Amino acid sequence: MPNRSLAPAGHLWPNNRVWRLLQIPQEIHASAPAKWRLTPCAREFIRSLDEYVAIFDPLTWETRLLSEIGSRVVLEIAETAATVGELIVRANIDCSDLADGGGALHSELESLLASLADAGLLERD
Amino acid sequence: MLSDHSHQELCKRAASTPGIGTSVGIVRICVRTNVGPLLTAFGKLYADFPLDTTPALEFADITATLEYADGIRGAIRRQIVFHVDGNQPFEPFPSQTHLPLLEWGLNWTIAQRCNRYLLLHAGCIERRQQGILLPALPGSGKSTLTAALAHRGYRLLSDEFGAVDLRHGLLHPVLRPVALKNESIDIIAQFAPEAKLGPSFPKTRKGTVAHMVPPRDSVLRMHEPVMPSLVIFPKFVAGSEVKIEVMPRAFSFAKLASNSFNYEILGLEGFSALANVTQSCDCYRLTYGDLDQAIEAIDRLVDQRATKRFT
Repeated sequence: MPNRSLAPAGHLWPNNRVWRLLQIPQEIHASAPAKWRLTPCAREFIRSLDEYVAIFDPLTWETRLLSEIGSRVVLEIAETAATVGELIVRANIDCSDLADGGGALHSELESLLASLADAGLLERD
Repeated sequence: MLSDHSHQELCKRAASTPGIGTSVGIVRICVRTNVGPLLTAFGKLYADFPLDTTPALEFADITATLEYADGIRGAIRRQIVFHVDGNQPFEPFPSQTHLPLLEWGLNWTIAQRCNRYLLLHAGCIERRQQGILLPALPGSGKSTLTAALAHRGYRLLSDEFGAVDLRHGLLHPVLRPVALKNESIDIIAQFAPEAKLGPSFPKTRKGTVAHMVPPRDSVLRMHEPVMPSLVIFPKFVAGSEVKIEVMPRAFSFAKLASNSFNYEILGLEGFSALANVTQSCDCYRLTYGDLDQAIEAIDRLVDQRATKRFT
């Protein structure tokens, strides 16, 4: 029985949630911010309804209706892989009037994207 | 058709193994009963429906039995029990509410079982090949509006179920008598004097209930699905002028999902089917206080949509 926590990056258990979560701290310490992209199967689970996005979580079977900003970000990721910073720019999210310069928004988006990664719908480069 | 058969013949069938089998669109039902007044009412409401003469009704999706309750409770006050395929899902009802019990029992069973379709809680009608869903919470005037439209040139698909085919997204009829409650009974009797209404059942759990016979043309076309084009959330407000507002698709999606009988158990298939319906339909909120005005407004939406489709 292999020890999954020591599994080499790449190919053995690519869809294992535990494995993926364990990888996140390493990526956070990396110098360049990670790019988010849709997993190959994700499009079936993500549907745009005008300016909003509905997401079916294949693990919990819950349906999530994203906020307008969350929707814009996910639609941008569907176009092409991007970092959170790039997504904020591309989705035209105005952070100028936010007290912390958008720091809280940035981490909120990070956690939204991480939750979608947990569901197997997004992955990081 | 059931009306081609004598009451005695129907009684004989209903009391024996074959039962009275008929199709109500996507579902084939078989009713067995020894409750005479039920059979009289059933024969009237389902007069235009085909009588299934398959010997053993092997293919009935639902076999419902209504009979007088045995035992001491039945002896004190006559009661009836609803069985479906041998199970008794409800407590006995007073015997005078036989037809409402049968109709509610059938609704309940369809909602439990028809998971080949996404079942939305909605009235469904069609005109100019535009399928229209009228989803609403109880008390919103959904059945009254559906019944009224069925007598103003719209084909009736269902008063209760918007059955969306998971594969093709088509809206299928689940055609049954329209259950009207309390004031709606007189409203429809006055609005459409040609409408055939069954007996009234006072003091049921929902007040007085009477059923409207589906128009014959709708019965003849009950195996004809249609593509959904409009989702209209009706809301009756006494004295209100008619008001149509565009409803954002995302909110329509959420309302339809929460109003569905089986969205949660269909998983990804239900999600995809509902997203397809919402994406392909124009969605509106309709507030009305007058049936004629509401129908005019719906006519305009249908005509607009039909024109858009062909241009």
